[in-house]
Amino acid sequence: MSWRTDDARAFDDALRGRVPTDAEIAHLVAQAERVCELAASVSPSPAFMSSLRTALMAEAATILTSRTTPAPPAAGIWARLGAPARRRIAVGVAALVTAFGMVGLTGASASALPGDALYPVKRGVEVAELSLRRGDDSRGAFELERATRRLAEVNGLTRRPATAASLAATTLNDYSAEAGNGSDALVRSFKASHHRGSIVTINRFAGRAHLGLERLDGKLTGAAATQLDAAQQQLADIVALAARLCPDCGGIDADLVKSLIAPAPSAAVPAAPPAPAEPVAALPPVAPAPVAEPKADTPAEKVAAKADNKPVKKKTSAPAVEVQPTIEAPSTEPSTVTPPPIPAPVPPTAAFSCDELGNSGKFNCVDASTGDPTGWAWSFGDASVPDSAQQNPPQFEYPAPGSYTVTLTVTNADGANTATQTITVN
Amino acid sequence: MSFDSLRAALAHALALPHDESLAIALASAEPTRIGGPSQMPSHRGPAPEEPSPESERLRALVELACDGDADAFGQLYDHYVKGIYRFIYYRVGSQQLAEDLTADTFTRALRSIAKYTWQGKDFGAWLTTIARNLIIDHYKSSRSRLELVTESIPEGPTTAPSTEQDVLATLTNESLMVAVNGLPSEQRDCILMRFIQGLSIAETAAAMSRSEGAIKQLQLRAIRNLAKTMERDV
Repeated sequence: MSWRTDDARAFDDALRGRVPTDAEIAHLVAQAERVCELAASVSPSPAFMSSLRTALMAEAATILTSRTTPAPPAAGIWARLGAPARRRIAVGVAALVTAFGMVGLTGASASALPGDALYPVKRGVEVAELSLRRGDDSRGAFELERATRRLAEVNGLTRRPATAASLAATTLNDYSAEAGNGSDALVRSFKASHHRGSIVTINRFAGRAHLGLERLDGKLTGAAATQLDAAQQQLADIVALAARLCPDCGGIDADLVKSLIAPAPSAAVPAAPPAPAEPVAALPPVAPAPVAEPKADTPAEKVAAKADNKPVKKKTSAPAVEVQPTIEAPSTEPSTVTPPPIPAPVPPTAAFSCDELGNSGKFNCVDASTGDPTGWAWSFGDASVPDSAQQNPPQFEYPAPGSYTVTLTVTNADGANTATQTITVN
Repeated sequence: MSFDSLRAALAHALALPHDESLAIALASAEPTRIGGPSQMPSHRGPAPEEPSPESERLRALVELACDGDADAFGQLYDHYVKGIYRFIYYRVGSQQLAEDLTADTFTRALRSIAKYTWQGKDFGAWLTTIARNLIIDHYKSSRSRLELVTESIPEGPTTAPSTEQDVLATLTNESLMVAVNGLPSEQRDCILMRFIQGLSIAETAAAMSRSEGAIKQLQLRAIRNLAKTMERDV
């Protein structure tokens, strides 16, 4: 008896309703259905099911609702990776895609959205294309194309039900990075060659981006909405710079853009240097967190950071907590805006629960801290159980019966907090 | 260059911690296959393959639950609890133990939903994987596999069989359990997931870290063996 692929496919098709032509297949389908019927006659008791549900819902009320919006994990691999890992993926895919001669978006991957299975392929193809381009002008133009795509993706995300908010925020972050890199490169190219085309490209992009951002107005919440504000401000700065460098390069009406965005924060940079025509418009994206960490970055430092092509700070499970102050306003703009109030810094509050697996002597401790901690330090009160720095440490076992103290200290930029519990092992 | 080879190459070359999931997820991007009549799991046949309103709803629930929606988790529990219970019950043979492990499975799922990294459509597979690990842990720490034999008379349905038909059902349930557990472990798990729990091909593939084609072959092989065993016992 051979188990050919045809048999396997025929069997599965028959299970799904296609009338089998083979007698053996028909017989096996009947067997399979009998197994299903028998299994269906076994059920957990209704009392058990409802009491378990009650217990789970009670626990869910404490575990789930205490988590704050900035750090929701999204289903899907792409969104939960930090920026370095995502770059690695994109580069890895890019290498393969180039090797297999698939440069150029095709088919399903072209319409993939963040969170889709094929999205890493789409991003990888972009990296591959970028690597084929030489020169600030070509690369800059391509980066702006990518940025436009990111906006289309965010729009697509808003049309899907129950999309994790973090996906939109992440994608908008990427948009800002690409918009910044792209316009930086084109400005550099213009300064070197004085070729109008570079600024025209920026202005064309700005027109599309303005529409794209406008379309998102009112559709986002939380971190994504804050990121949208920052993106609109960034675009206004880009437009202003382009207009200054080349007033008749097809610029859109800068006043129109400014009139549609909220008063922008322009906290004065301490010891503001005189304003040369540096690429100050191309900001690193402004992080959405309320905690402000004022940094006296000089434009020179910012340019250096841009040259490294590091668009964003390293992402942790909590949102980036640094806020870069915006650049000093160019002399053509009257400065009538007030900076937003900076909320008081909030240290985290430690909390956790530990549960034994049945009566096995094995324990799982789960973090339930609030206040956006960024670091965890667990110790379990016995030399044989190693300390852990993970948010949820791996399962562990105590060597002997007794009483043990579990300690968790959580930290973030604003402080630390400790909680303890005693575990008794019989 | 076929899509299959690209997928395999990507899965190998990326070598990420979740590359298995990525490979499986990419496999799911293939064009939808012909579908049959849509059926509830474990009523007359295994779960449907094509995306249905039901599967879309489940995906949305998973996203909500991951974002912290307790009610969504409750609805996922409602959908999956019987299947998980049956999977466990046919492995361990004891109603009490199956209840305990079912509770452990969902508790663990709730507590680690923050770290859920599978695709929204694979939630059932994820739960099954948790259940499998708990069963393994249980056997490691309990007396031995003989437990299944010593407790070999399963308690079966909660109400005592009152008619000849019921008695027959209990006996055939027993023989099914023995027959299933007599299979090689991969075939056994495939039967448990596909026909007792009611997972789809895609979910079973995700839970067992195999391709969908491999699962189709496995289920055919397993049913053939099972049929032989059960017919012999009649």
